Amino acid sequence: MAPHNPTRRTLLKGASFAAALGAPIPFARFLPAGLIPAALAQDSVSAADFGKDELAILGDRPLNMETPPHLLDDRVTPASRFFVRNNGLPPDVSTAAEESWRLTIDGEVDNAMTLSIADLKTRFEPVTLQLQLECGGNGRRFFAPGASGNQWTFGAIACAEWTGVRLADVLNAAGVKNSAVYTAHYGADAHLSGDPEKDAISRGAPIAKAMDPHNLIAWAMNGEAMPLMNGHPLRLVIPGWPGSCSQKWLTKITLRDRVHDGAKMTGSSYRVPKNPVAPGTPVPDEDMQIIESMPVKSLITAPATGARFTVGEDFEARGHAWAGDLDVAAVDLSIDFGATWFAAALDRPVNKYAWQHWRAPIRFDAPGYYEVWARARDTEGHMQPPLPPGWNPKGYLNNMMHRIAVFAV
Amino acid sequence: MRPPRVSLFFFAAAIAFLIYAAFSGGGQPGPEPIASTLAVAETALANPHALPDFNWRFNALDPGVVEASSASASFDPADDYWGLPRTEGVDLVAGYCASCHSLRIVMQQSASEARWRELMAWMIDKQGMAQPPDDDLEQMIGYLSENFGA
Repeated sequence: MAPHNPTRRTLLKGASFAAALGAPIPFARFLPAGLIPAALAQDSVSAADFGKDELAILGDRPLNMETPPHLLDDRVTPASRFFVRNNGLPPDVSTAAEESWRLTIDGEVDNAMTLSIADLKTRFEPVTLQLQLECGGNGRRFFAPGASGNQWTFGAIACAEWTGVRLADVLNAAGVKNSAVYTAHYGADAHLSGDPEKDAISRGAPIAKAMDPHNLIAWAMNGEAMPLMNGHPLRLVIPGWPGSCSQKWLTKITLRDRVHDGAKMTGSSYRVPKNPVAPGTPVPDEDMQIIESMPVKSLITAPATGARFTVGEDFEARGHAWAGDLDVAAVDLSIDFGATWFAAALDRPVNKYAWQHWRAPIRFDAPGYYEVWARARDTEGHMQPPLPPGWNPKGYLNNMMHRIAVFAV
Repeated sequence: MRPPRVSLFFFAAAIAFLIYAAFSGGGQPGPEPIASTLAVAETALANPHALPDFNWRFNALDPGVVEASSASASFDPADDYWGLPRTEGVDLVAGYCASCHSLRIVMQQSASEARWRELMAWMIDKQGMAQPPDDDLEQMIGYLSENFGA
């Protein structure tokens, strides 16, 4: 019997939840037993509820928060300012206990292993690296026609100092078979539907990328346990590729003899057209390819947009730049809407995949409205475009220039 | 219904022209041209959402990330339907979509009818959404593309 429009009778079934909500639940009959209606979570959550500073909440179920650029001014992003990108429902604190956590390595390996976090800490060399992670959909908001998904602007990016062990060391300890082609990552977060048979997300990487010595199985961020919302007690950090490769609440890595086909590996998820398409064009799955390295990009983290300076006053513009698997070769700035450009001073990364910091002195000699534009160039000559590049159905890989407004008065 | 979109460049060009006009004086001694130019820009800064197309094209006056981008609705936890527009199909969308995820994500979207149709198929086929009767599905797609259209 097909369900129909809501009736008084179906509304009554949801009466107890409805009382809590102060609103009817027309489809109470669809709520799986025991599942709290998502709407109860559709409340006035704030970033502070999750130990975060003034991050913007894009959604509360799943929880997604991004960081305004001016809060990313630190060279190493504090945990309180590290963006949150969830695909499912995180485990709660009690199940995420470090002591009882287990990580399984299986599939195309000589010896499948199950390790505790203590095993990881004692059997492998601990490594600390500054590694940047960016959501593949950062900048999605600026595609036209609109691309579906969380409408990230600029702030789904951060660079923290991670401590863990090299993924390669752990895989080598298990013995990588010649037949291994791709990794498959699994975590403890639940699918939004509550269906235990579904993974919220399970992505992976080709073996060559997985064996890069900068990939970590990490238990600490900035010298402390990482926030639960960023993957505590154990996560992957696979820098330079979409953040979704860096499974949070990591429980298992399976080596496969073929490309992974887990949740959000297929269709339009984290995939872009093989060849450029006109904006809005439907693209068949077979014409899509998996995103690998993220593109060159930069942020202006100081001053904050809307800043006011006195005519003739010197101030410093500064920020960070990064380039996926490559390094940044140069950052140029413009204060005349892109008509002319000048070079910013650019630091080397403290280690590969760390943010490169840049800065430049600026002064306005006449009053008015100005914009500071930043444009990074990578070691292979790719530059940031002024507009969103390569439209794609899900709005990935937007590395357009960041611009801020500045008034000279 | 959303106001007509005016591209970023029209806005940037307008600002640039105002600045140019202010500096050049246009051959006419106008009343404090710099002050009036700044007044326009600062009014925009004070109320960036009043700018045409502010929500859809990047504008450097935006102090950061703000609310959902669709002009027709914004999330309101105090509202019985969390701020969803009250057009035909609101019950269906609230019921089906909020069973799994926040309505905030719905209200951020700007998708064509064809894309909403794909998204609903994906939700049903891959994401565990209950299969609605055809009439209801059509009503939801109509509601979503009317209120959160491309």
